[in-house]
Amino acid sequence: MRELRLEINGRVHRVRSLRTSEGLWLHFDGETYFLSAANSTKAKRRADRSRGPGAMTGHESGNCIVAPMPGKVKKVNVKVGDMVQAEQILIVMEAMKMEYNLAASRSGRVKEVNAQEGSQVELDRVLIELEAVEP
Amino acid sequence: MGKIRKLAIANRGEVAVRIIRACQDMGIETVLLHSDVDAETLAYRLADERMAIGPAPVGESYLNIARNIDAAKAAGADAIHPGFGFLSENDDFAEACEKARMIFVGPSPESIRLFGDKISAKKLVESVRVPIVPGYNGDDQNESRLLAEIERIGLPCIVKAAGGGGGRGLRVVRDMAGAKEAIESARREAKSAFNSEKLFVEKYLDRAKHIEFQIFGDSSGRVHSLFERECSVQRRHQKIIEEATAARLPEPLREKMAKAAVLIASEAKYRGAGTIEFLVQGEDFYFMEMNTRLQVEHPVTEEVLGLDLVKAQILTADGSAVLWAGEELKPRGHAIECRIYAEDPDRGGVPSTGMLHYLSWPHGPGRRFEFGFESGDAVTPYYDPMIAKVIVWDENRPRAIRKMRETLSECVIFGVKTNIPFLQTILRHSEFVDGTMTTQFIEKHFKNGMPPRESPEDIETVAEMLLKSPAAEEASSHPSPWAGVRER
Repeated sequence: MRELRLEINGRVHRVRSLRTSEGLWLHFDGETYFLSAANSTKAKRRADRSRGPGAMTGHESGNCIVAPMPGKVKKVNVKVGDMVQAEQILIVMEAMKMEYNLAASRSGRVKEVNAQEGSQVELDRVLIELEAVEP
Repeated sequence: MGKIRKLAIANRGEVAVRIIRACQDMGIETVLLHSDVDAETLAYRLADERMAIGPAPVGESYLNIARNIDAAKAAGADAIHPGFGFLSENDDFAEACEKARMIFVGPSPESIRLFGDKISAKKLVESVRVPIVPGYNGDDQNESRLLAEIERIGLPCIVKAAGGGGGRGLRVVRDMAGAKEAIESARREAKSAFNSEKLFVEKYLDRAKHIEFQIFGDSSGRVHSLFERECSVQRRHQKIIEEATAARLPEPLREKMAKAAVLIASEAKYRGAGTIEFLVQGEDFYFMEMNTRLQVEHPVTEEVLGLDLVKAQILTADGSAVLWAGEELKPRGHAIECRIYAEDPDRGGVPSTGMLHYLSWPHGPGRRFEFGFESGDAVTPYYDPMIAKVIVWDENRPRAIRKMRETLSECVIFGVKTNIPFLQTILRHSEFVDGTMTTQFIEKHFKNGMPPRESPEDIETVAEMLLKSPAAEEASSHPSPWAGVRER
C-alpha cells in the first residue's frame, strides 16, 4: 500500500493505492476505484466504468453468456438449437448461497451449451453461445 | 452459575470474532470450530483453541451437527454458542448439545422448534391475538395446491422456505404466469440452504416497513423489550442497512408492538435473545416471524441501550442474572449499521471473491467495526458475501447518517470490490434521509442496482502517474517493524 498527497488544480488529495497483478486499486476523495490491468488505456477504462449495472446478464459480450462469478450451475434451461428471446432466463447459478439468474441479452438460437447442471464453473467461463437468426 | 469456563463457537467470520471478544471480557476460554478453508481468518487467530471440523462445503462442516458436537467435546468445552445462520436455529443441534452435557447458548430446543415451524408459531401468535399476514402454511406441498393458495390469498404473494431466513429460498409472485417457476426455484434454494423443500405462501405487503423488536428472556423468566430496529432497506430480502430505533414510528404504535412482542415471547417462556419481526403498513402491524437467535444487526440495539447482548446471552445460559434486568431501559440517540458485502456494485452486485490485500477502518468516537478478516486473508466463494459491518452512533438520526457517510468514505478495502458506493448512494437518497422508506425501497429506486458511477476526471491523472511509477516503491512506502513477524 502506498499513500501519497497529490496536488491537482490547487487541491491536495490524499491518495492510497495498491498495484496487484490484476490492476490498480485507488482510494481517492472518499471512494475506492479499481482500474483493471487488462484495460490500460484511458478510453477503455472510461468505457468500463460507465457501463451500466445490467441485471445479471453476465457480461454480455454479444453472443456469449458468461459466468459473472465463480459458482455452481444449478439449472440449464435450454439446449443447442433452442430459440431464445431477450431477457429469457437461460441458466440459474448459485454462489455464496444465493441463486442468480443469467438471462439472454438478445434473442437468437442456442449455438453451444458449455454448462452442466451441478458443475462448478470459474469466473468468465462462457456458458452459452448464441447465434443471430436471420429474420 | 459460573459453570461456563470454556465455550466453543460453531460459526465463522465477524460473529465468531464478536463472541470471542465477549468471552475475553468475561474470562471464558474459547474454542473455534472451523472449516479447513477458514484457517486464514481473524477468529482463527483470536481463539484460544481451534478445532477443524471438515472441508469448506457447509454440509460437511458448519452444518454438520455430529462434527461440531464431537469437536467441542474433544476440546473440553462446557458450552456452545451457535452465532447466527448455520446451526443457530436448529433444534436438533440444541438438543444434541444438551445430550452431550454442554450448554447451548440460546433458547430451549422446544422454543426453537415452536418458532422454527411457521405453523406452530402462527398458532401461538394468533392465540395471544397478535395479527399475522394472511397466508398458507399447510402440509400439502403439491404444486397445484400452492398455486391454488396463491390465487386465494391474492397477488402479489411471496413463496418462502418454511425452514428459512436470510432471504434464501424466497420468491415474489406478481403474476400467475411466473408462479410455477417461483415455486420451483424457491424449492431448489430451500433444499440447498436448509435441506428442506417445504414452502409457505404469504400475502406480499408492498408498502410496508420492516420493524423488529429485540426481546430478551432473562434467567428469572422475565421477558424484556429492548426496543425496535428498522430494517426496511433490503435487496432480494437480504438486509443492507439497519437502524435503532425505527426512523418514523409513532409512540402509541411502538408501545403496542412492544407489548405484543413481549406477550408472544412470554407465552413461549422464551429464554435468551430473540427477535420478533413485524411488517408495519400505515397504522397496522403484522407478525412475520420470530428469530430464535442473535441477529446480525444486534449492534445497533447495543449502541442505543449501552449493553452487550452476547454477554447477556452467555450469562443467561449460565443461569446468572443480567444487571440491566432491574433497570428501566430507554434508548439514547440513534445507531445505524451498514453491511459490507463483497460484491461488484458496478455490475448489479454480483459476488466478488479474492484476496483482501489491504484493509483500513477509520476509528473514531461512535464508530464501531465488526469484521472477520485482516489484510492478507481471502474471501472464498463458499460462504455468505458479508465481510464486515460498520456501525455508527450519534445524538440523532440526521447526525448518525452524516457520520455513517463520513465513516464509509474512509473505509479502504483493496482486493475485492464492495457495496460501499451503493451504500453511499442509499444514504444520500431523499427517501432514506426522511425516513419514509419501505421494504420496496431498493426495488423502487434501484431495480438494476446502482446507477453508473461518475468518477472525477482527476482519477485518470492520478492513475497515469501511479502506473508510470515503478512497482518497487509499493512495498517500501510503509515499512513496518512487524512485517513478517506475524505467524499464521
